[in-house]
Amino acid sequence: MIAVIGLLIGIILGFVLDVNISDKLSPYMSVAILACLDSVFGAIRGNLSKNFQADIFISGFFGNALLAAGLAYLGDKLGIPIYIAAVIVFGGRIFDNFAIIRRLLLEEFKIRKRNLSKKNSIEKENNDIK
Amino acid sequence: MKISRSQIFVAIVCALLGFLLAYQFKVLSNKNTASNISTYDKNDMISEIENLKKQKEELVTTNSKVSDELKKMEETAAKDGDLGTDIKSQLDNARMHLGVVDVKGPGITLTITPKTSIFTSNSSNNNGDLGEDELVHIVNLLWFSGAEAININDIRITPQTGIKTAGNGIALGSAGKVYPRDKIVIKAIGDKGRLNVGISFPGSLDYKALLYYNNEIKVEDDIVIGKTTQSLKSEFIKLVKE
Repeated sequence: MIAVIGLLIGIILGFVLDVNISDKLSPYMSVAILACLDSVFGAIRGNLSKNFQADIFISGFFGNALLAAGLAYLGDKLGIPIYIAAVIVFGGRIFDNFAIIRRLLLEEFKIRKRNLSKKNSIEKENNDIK
Repeated sequence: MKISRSQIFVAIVCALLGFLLAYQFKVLSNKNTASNISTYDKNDMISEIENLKKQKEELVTTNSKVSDELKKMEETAAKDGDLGTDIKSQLDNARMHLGVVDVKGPGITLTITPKTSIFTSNSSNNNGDLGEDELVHIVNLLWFSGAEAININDIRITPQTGIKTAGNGIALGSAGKVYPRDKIVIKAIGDKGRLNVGISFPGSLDYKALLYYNNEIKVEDDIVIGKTTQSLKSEFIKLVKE
């Protein structure tokens, strides 16, 4: 919940504030954002599977972003499109994480549904006994 | 609701991500709007170009007719005496140097083609593309090696032809454009030996982006260089009378 609020505040600030970041950094920022998104999806997955650790999330968020942007910059200087490596790895991980998140959510939904039907049947039995 | 320290950090990090996403989105949508201007009224622009092309063709025909008439008149005048013949030959020379007549003679043909490499196959990477600097360098090199007439992709270089990067190509005055990703053929008439030495001297064609291009030099005995399609202007220059 708090993460969603933070995200919304960030989006509003991004549209409202007129910050000037050099155009040259724009391609590196795109790769960094992809790395950040990967970390966020990882965090959601961790949260759902009850093993989320904030320190790992934050360090991964900044570490991955810097590494991805750094690799893209290095690739630009060497004339090899290394940023493709970052795009493939992070893109693949985002899809993996999303698949796991989907399964976890579906399982949780099924469990809730089962519990609800069980509860209803118990209530019905109680009413019958009464 | 109790908010722990780690939750605050997560919120800050998410806010940062949201900010980056919104900023990048804003920047890219601004870029797209800017590039949309170039596609504005594409059909109108195409029809305008077609019209201008037709006009140009008509003007070229009229120009050649008038040139022929002038030539006839000059020849008639030259028949009258030796002085007339001298003036006529000087006039012809001046015209050849100005690039307003077709010329032929021995010289060299330099063909420049971009090198194909797996590392330069990325179309967005145009760091290795030829620009105005490289073309100016070659033309300068040819003039220095004694070229008397030069053309680039059949566009004659006159004393008033400026070379400047314009959009995705390189404009050669108002006569036309050459594109760095296409084959560029440069012809020069002059002392073919001197021109060949000048252009193939070690390092001559290793200038800036020329390193990323293959070049082929052919020495020929009969090169034809057409006249310029660009009109020479003399609006402001005046003759100094003694």
